[in-house]
Amino acid sequence: MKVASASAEPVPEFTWSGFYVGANFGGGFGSGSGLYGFGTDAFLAPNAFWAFPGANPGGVLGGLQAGHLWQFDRFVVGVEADMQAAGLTGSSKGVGASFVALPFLATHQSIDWFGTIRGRIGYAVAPTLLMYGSGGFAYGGGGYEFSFFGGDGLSGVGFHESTRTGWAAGAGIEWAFLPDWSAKFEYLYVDLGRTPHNAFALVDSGGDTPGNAAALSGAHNRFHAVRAGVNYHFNVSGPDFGGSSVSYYHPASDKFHEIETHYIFGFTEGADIDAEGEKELELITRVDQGRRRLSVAPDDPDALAKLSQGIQGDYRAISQKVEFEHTLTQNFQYALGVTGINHRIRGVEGLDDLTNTSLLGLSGEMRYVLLGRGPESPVGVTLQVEPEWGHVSPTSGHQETAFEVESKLIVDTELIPNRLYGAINLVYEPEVSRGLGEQKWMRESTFGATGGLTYRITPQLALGAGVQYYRAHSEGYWFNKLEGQALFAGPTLYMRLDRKIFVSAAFSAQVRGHAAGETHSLDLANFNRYMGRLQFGIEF
Amino acid sequence: MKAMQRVCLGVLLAPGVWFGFQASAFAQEATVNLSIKDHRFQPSEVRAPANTPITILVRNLDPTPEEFESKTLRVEKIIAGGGSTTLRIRPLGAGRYRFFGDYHEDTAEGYLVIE
Repeated sequence: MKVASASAEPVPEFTWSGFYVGANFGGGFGSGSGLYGFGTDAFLAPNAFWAFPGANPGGVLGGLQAGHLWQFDRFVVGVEADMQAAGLTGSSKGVGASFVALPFLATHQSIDWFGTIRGRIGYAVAPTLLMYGSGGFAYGGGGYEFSFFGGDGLSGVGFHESTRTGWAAGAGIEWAFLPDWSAKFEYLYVDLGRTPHNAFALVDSGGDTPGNAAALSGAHNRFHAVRAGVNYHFNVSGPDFGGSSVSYYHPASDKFHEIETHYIFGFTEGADIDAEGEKELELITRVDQGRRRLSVAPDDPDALAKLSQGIQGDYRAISQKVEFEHTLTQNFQYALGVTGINHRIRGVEGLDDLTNTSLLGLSGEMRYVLLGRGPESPVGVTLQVEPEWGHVSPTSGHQETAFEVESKLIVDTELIPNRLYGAINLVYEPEVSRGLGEQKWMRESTFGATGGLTYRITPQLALGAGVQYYRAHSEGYWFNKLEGQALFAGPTLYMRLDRKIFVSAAFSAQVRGHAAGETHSLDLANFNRYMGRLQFGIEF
Repeated sequence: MKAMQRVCLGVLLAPGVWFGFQASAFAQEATVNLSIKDHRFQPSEVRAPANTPITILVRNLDPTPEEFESKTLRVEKIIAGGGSTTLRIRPLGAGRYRFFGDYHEDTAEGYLVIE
């Protein structure tokens, strides 16, 4: 990465060309297909069969990368190699079919490490902002454990470890926030193929091996990875960074000045909009976790089937929204967004077991400043309306057609000038949806009141706390049948990484709640236990 | 009943009065001139009337680029070294609105005072 001599041109030319090394951290989630297999007596035809969901290993990953880029006008090409440690694990259970006795089956799968060698091709949408795609060769290792418990006393455990090769492809965005440093956010799909058919011997209750065997096929080593990272670029092909005349690298002032409040409160929104004409890319990751686990009474006739689904009550939904935001006038801003979602549901009351990645929906947001906070008014008031089209249910992950309008009346104020800010949102969200193959449209509405307090520790860093109260109603658009209510609370963080880039993070846990007809102290039927939100905003 | 008629008359006349006010407000427009020299605004404080659209003309006398920005005016615009630009500001209420040069925020700072 180099910057041409600043004295020759008032706005220096910036290039991505050069070597770089860096580190990354992120998460991965499996995209497996079903597992299947059979059991045999010695030298006889199979006497038991099974098919159950894949273990879909998920978890954290991190590693190092190195590469070289070449820039031609606004086009950028390059190569990159990376090496990752991974803690992707997953479990799955099932019940087989047999002429003798129903066998229980369980598998635990892990991907422990992987690496890729990929080509990169990108386009610099702004001198320091690169959008790119990449693809190439992948390799990695992991294994699985397969347990068999036959109803007739036979049991066995098999292990299989392997190093595999495959391919990887993805896309991302990279931002040079300092002369030699860039930050990236990228998605990568890695497919290391299927683990081959694997059979192992079973033992009976006396410890003898009567010649029976069990086999498992279909364990798929493929996953989606989302990674954030930083790169250091060696300034090998050009003169040194041009110093003070390279204007767009200057750090923001170290004094406390005005701050834009839109994203400083976490789940609650502030009333400010950007400057007229400003364009911003928002990357918003949301994680929802925890639902009421499946209840299995001993005398439940479906106990066996429910047990086979697992009893962990494992619910996780991760969504990724990419939004383009444009401030059209000094009072009006709009944003267009597309959101994808990954669900992993095991043994949750009222929801089917599911592992799925899908388009969640499309949205268009409009914000109008009714009263601008500042010299003319101590409070800011903004009306926000966001119509959305939904493709899958954000709760169940099943395909549906949904239309909803999230409306917010946003009020914020400066409690201590340039330091302490407070905001309140009133939320109204009517929705109509119809599940795939269903005739009837369901009408629902959610009402909410949320609040946040944020204090700036430094000009660039603000910490705060927020509360959110929501009520879920069914059978209509307006305060109809109350299904449940929940109160969430948690911390928030806002940090400016550069004049044109910020990160906002928030976490909230349900602290009180009540679902209609239930006696629990939380509503885990209509709401989740935990929710997290991570946002990168990049102005260009 | 008479009170009701007065209310109805008021409701009917109100838009006319409002539009009349808007028309008179938009009939006049204030212009403010600023220049940037040595990464400072000259003058550093300018005045304009309330509820009137404002045009700000900024000339950058420095050889380096500058970005004119204001959070409360909700504008930002890059001005090349030796160049100039025009910004149109919506009618504002009374108050002291800060603006700054985003590349040299600690020195390039000024106020638009609306009276």
